[in-house]
Amino acid sequence: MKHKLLLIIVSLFFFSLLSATQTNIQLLNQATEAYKSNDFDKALSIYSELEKKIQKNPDIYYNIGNCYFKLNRIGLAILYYKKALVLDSSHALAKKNLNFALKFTLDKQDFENQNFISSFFSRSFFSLSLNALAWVCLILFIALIAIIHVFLRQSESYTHTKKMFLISLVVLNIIFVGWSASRFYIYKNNKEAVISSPKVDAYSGPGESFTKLFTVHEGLILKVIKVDNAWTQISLFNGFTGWIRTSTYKAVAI
Amino acid sequence: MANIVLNKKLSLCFFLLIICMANLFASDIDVSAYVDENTVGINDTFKLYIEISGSITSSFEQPLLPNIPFQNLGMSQSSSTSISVINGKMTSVKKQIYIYTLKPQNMGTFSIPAITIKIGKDTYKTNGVNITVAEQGTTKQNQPTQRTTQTTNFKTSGQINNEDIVFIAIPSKTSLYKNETFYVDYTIYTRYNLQPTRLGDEPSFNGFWKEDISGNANIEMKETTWNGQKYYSIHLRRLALAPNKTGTLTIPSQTLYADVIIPSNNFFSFADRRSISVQTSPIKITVNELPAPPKGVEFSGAVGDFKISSNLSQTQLKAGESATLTITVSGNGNLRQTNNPVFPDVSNLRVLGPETDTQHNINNEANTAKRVLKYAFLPQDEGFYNIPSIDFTYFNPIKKQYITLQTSEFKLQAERGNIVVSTYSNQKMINAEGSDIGFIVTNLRFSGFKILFKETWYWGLILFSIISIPAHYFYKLEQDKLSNNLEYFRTRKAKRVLKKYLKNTSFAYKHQQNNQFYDSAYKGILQYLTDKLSIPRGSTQTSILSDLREKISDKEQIEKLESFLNKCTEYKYSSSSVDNVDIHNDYFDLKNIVDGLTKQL
Repeated sequence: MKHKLLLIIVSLFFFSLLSATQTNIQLLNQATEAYKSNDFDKALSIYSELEKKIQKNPDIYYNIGNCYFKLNRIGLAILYYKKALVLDSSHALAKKNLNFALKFTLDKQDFENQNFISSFFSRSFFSLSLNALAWVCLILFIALIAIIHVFLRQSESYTHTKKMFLISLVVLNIIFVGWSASRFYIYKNNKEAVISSPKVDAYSGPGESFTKLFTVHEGLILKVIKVDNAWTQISLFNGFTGWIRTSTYKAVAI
Repeated sequence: MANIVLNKKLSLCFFLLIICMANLFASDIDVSAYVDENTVGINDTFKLYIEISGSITSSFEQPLLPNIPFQNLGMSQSSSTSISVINGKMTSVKKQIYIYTLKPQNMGTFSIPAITIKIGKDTYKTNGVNITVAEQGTTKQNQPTQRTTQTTNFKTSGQINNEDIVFIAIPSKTSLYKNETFYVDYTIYTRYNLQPTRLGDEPSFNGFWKEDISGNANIEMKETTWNGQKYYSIHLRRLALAPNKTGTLTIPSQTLYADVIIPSNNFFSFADRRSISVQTSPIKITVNELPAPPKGVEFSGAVGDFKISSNLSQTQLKAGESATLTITVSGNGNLRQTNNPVFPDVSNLRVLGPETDTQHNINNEANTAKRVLKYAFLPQDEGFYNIPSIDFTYFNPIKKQYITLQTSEFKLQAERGNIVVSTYSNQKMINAEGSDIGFIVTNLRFSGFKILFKETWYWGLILFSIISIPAHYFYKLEQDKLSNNLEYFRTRKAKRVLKKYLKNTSFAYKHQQNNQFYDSAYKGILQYLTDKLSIPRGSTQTSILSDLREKISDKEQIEKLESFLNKCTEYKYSSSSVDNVDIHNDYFDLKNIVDGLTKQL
């Protein structure tokens, strides 16, 4: 009797889960149809609904970015591509579209003007997504544990190759743990933000009474230094710092 | 033995004989030098003969002429061998004659010094020869009679006049258009029996395109009349020329070397060969510029008179086939320098070529030329193709106008599946015609996106694997202890063994198997005690109990145990005398005892 009840509860749970995915698929199909027929507003609203339902999905962020781009909201498009890349830094489509969208901003954002070594370093640093790194770390760690177990079992036969294997595994573990840790730190402390208002003036202090330093436009990627209620201190890729209104930008961090 | 000695002697004699004979012959060699005329004209040539005769056995080199004031025009040689047998003796006489053709350079009397000839190891000297060079050679002129038995009417006089041998170049035109082809014929007119030996060095034809089209025709001597006189003519050479400059151009002079054969009047002497050299005079040619071609006409550059014909190899194509369009342009003119007609673009039709082949002197006819153009067609798709006509425009210098010829049009049918893979390609770079963002993702994952570093199972797995190491370590320590210490192993195992026996007792109790019950209870307790106390199995009950007394202070417990054990030994074998009440009590007694023992040990 007890078993039967449990069975019913479990099957009900799965059924509800299934029906939930079913409605999600329907929504997704509607959104795809709307996007195909150039009804980007409708597609955007469906994707936003899906975003609330299914939290944290890089593909949803990417699709929202596409809708914003088609609706000529370059700033928000860039923001959502960025969000997708925060979750999955190896999202090739998002990367491509972000680079494309960046050409439409009024402010020239010359990220490629770095020297070769630093650009190569940053590219390889973000080449693996956070989850891919997590998997690599897990596999390497388990491999290390496994080899330690082997050593414990056959304590008499420490061969040279086994020792080298152990050492290399330890080194690899250190490298990947360090890499993942720094990436996780960046993920947790993402200070990036995108200007969402068409035109924003930056001042030397929190208030319009301060000297106006420079003007930025929608789609500019910046770094938040300090938030002070309605005003935020920001820094640009070229080293400029200033204060802008907090309402004029959107943070990338999820 | 004696025979061999005789043979040896004989062969020695024979050998000596041969040496003597050779010496005899060697001394027989005769060397002499002579000329055909002792008095020669300044413009004449004469021949110097150097004759070596005798039984020559060793080799010799061609004699070197000393420094003489005559021009050496060439050397020829003849040799003969005569063998005669006289009175059974064979003599072989070899005769070698070197004939030098010499031409005087100055007038006066000269002497040719003795010429040294090396034959084998010996040197021989010829006699000297005197030559008188006069303004006109006299020797032959003085000969009054001509031979009447001649079959040809060649002049036989020893003196060669300039009018007797004339070498001329005759152009087919002297006033012509640029690029118009004309021909130059080189003919020698002679009254002597003449054999051309070679042409002089090729002069440079500046401003002309030139091709020798004389071919391998036989050099024939023909009887002709030229300038009102009877001559023998030899047509030596034909050049096709086309001026590539306008203005006055010059055809340079050409030298010819020839031998004049003058038959000898003397019955005993052979015919006389005289080497001569003759030159053509340069010819001036006037070249006019072509008139401008009419507008919209693609001038091929051809000047002359041409015909055109075209032929398509097949009009229906199957898979993998190609059709060949053959265009033949023939006529008189500079076909080799003309541009090939341009083939217009036909969509989906790949045109390869043209492959060209130009020939001159078609069917041995002079002034003709033919060019064959072959275009290969590779249809890229099925269907009908119109192969348009091709224009060929040339200038006709006789009519003084441009003439356009057209090939005929063709229709080509290509059947299905006719895709030809060719190494020839007209691929183009892909050009971007627009740019946009990538399309949305339609098959996305609904599971949401989880950061693994925030997942509990992830850290659980890591924690588990970390814990597994000390666990493995302690397990290993335990294993080592067990394998090293059998007693430790027994004490560890004791409880398990006891449990096994107690299981048997409870089974026996439930099924009322009395002696089974007591037997396993007794065995179980004793084994447990021996394992726990580390004493050998099979020790007697008393020795076990005495050991136990040392370990446990509780006397009552031990007495209880002793009485139970005694009871066991008593009932173990007798089956009937135990009632159910007793066994019930004993079961609980056993439980108490075991509890007490396990607590205290």
